[in-house]
Amino acid sequence: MAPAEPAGRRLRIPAELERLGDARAWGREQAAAAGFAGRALGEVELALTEAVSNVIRHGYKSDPASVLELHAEMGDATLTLRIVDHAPAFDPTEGDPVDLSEPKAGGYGLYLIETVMDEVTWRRRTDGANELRLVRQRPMA
Amino acid sequence: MQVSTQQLGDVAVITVDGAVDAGSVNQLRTELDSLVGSGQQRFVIDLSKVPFMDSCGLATLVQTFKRVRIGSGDVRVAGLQEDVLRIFQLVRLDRVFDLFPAAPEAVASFGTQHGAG
Repeated sequence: MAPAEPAGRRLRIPAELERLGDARAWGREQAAAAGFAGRALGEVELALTEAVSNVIRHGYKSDPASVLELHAEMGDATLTLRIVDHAPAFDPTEGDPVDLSEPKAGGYGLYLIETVMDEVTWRRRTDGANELRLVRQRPMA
Repeated sequence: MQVSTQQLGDVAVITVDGAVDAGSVNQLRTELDSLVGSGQQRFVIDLSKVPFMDSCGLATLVQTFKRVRIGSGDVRVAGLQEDVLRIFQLVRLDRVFDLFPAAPEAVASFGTQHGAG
């Protein structure tokens, strides 16, 4: 049986954009605990914010009665952040590629996530939840 | 997040204080839309008190930029902190917006181009 997840490695928030700051602060805390600092810390914070924002806006349509869960797992070499929600199936990794040759008034979210994280995967779990998994190599000690 | 506007000649200086994300960006968007709607063309966005900006914040700035560039206007950005500058660089908006260390320089840059066409 897997050991219980430490409480500090998990956050449940309602699907309200006003709670993005809470998700961001939690993500920053997890990344700092994993040894990230400076630019890398800001990048992990950005990726998590974009991912949570996507779920709230596109998955839950900003329904505050819905809840999403954030999980952090610290491996020896990687930090893994998982965003779990029960919105209708939606794979955020299947967005159109972004053309950066001219400025766009939107559509940068997925590009930013995939640019700053080493691995971005989505799956529909057997319990019907969506799970987005963001992985980044931890800084060398 | 707080947004305040100061009019310096024909330049509107928008000072933003706090994180700009999908939850807070409406305040900035509303202010910029209102000013553009009333004919304002020249903007300086002072982000020196903004520790974080997400893609919704970027989109709002680009939207304003596109609207005023149809005329002779421009949006110039000042005081980017390291993390926010990084986001501009990731999506190459550092090549689109003229960036300045601080708002006074950005305001002055409009003066030096005044009448140049």
